[in-house]
Amino acid sequence: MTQDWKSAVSRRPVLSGILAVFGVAIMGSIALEAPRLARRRYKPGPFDDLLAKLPDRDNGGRVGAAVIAEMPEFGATRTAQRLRAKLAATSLADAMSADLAQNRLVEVRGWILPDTLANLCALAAKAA
Amino acid sequence: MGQATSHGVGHRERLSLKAFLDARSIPAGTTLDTDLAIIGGGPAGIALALALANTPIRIVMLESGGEAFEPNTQALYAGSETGTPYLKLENSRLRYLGGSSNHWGGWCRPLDAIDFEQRSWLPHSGWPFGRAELEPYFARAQSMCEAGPFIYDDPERWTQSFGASIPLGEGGVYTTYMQFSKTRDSYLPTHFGERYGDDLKRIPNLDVVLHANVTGLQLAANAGSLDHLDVGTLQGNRFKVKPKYTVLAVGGIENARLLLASNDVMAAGVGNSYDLVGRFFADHPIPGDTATMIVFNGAIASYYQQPQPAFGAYFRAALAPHDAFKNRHAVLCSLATIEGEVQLDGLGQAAIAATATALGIDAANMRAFTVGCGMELAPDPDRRLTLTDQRDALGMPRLQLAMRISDSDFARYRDTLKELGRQLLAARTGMIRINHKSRESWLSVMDWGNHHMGTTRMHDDPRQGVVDANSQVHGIPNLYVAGSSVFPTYGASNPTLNLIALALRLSDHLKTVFKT
Repeated sequence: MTQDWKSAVSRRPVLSGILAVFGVAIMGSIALEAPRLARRRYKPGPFDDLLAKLPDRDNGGRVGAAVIAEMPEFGATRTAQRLRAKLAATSLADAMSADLAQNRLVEVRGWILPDTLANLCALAAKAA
Repeated sequence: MGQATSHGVGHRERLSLKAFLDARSIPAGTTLDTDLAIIGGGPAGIALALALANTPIRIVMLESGGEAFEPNTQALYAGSETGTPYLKLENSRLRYLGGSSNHWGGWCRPLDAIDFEQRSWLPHSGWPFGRAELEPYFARAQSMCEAGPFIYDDPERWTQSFGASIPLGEGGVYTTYMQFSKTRDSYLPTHFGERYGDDLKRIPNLDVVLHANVTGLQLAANAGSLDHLDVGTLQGNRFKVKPKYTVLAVGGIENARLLLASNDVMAAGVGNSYDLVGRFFADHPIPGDTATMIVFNGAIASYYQQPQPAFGAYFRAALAPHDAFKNRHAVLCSLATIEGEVQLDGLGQAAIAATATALGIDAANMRAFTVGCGMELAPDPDRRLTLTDQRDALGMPRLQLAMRISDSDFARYRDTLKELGRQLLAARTGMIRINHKSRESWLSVMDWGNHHMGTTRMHDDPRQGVVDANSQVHGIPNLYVAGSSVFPTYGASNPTLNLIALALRLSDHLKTVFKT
């Protein structure tokens, strides 16, 4: 019987199976950890509490650079104070909806953006 | 029979075709007596003749061209242009039977109610009547344009077959619909001369005279009425037509030219006692790539980009400001069309990514479209046609156009685009980039509609209009003007359908006049 069993199950497939299990486990770990590992790390700054609300900070920063270029009078500290008050009890999406309802719009190189988003983007550019 | 019968030309089987007359074969010195002269064989003149078919009114239609394009006749249109770059005067219209319908795009849409209203924020605005006055004529005008049933802003119909319109948040811009003159399974719209030529030949009370150029509107010595018309041909033939009544229907440029040039009794020209003839010239600016419109999910109904067939019509959607929005924000009408797809630059991609993620929207299938537009101009008395010392082959003074477009015209359209952008975002549908800000930028993408309007504007007060509410020239009881030159304000709708409705209204008035 033992001999028969040995002949029926060779060593190579067993090892392959074990390796496959380990491989899946490793790939799974990487997949789970990838977003955290890949997430851009930003140096700490004074607007981090606000910028945490901006889901795409990199693209926001690109837009923000254009906002600042068109608003020479842009004041980061003053804007941050205003946004903190505005976003203290509401989500960014809801604040944007309120801007749209109130016609608070900013034009950035032709793009029509809600005021809150445009200013948050400008802070992202300042923090970059 | 179909269309022709519905326009008043019945009994086709019993009537033989009557050949058009040719002015070149009318003996020099002849005087043709008639009840009504229609000067011009374009859409307005032809609509009028069809509407007056089989009445006791004897009609002569005088058309400058023949039945096809002739370069020496077309050259009579040549003039000069100053100011804002504009089309060459000889290129923006056609001078043969059917007139400029021989090259029109077939776009049809009735004017909006507000287009007829006097608006406190818009100087020189206001027709002598409201849109209701034209309502009874739109269906017939639509039929003459062969644009299918008159169903325009009936979104239930249009969207049930082709998908929903673009969702917009509450606000000032909405989806409106245009219909097209192309229901004969032809790619081309209705060319009025070709389409209605045989119908005109069947009208027993009408004679069409081709190659007949009216060179003068001769007033009676007391300037109280029109006495006769001087007619000439390029071959040098000269004769007269002595009508009881005359309708001038040679387009928004030539109507003014003929009135101004007929100056031997009244030095300023016929109907020009208050220096209004030729002023208030207008066209529809058609700037290209005015904006880039993003649709986050990429879904857009086909009728936004191309005319689609449905319910016996061809229709296409445009985005227009509501009348209430126009009044609240002092904006003029515009019809924004969605055109082809475009690529975005880095800032555009970043703006969409930042905005969509902030709104919690998946924009992976996003598409970007360029936005075209037909705009309305504000009435401007200094945008005008004047006579020059130069003469054409018939000895008629040539025209000069002083073209103008104000920065506020662009600013008003920008306000509408901004509102559209707001509504797209509010509905989580998309967003917009306005592509032009400076005057130079707008002018760099400018084209024009070839829609000549305003030069013989309609107003009850002779100090503010050349013609009265019946299209009669103030002070000349037997002279009328047809066509879009009588529009005091212009809307953004293409003028053909509307000027035909006005011509049909004029035909009813003339029937009454001749009865009495």
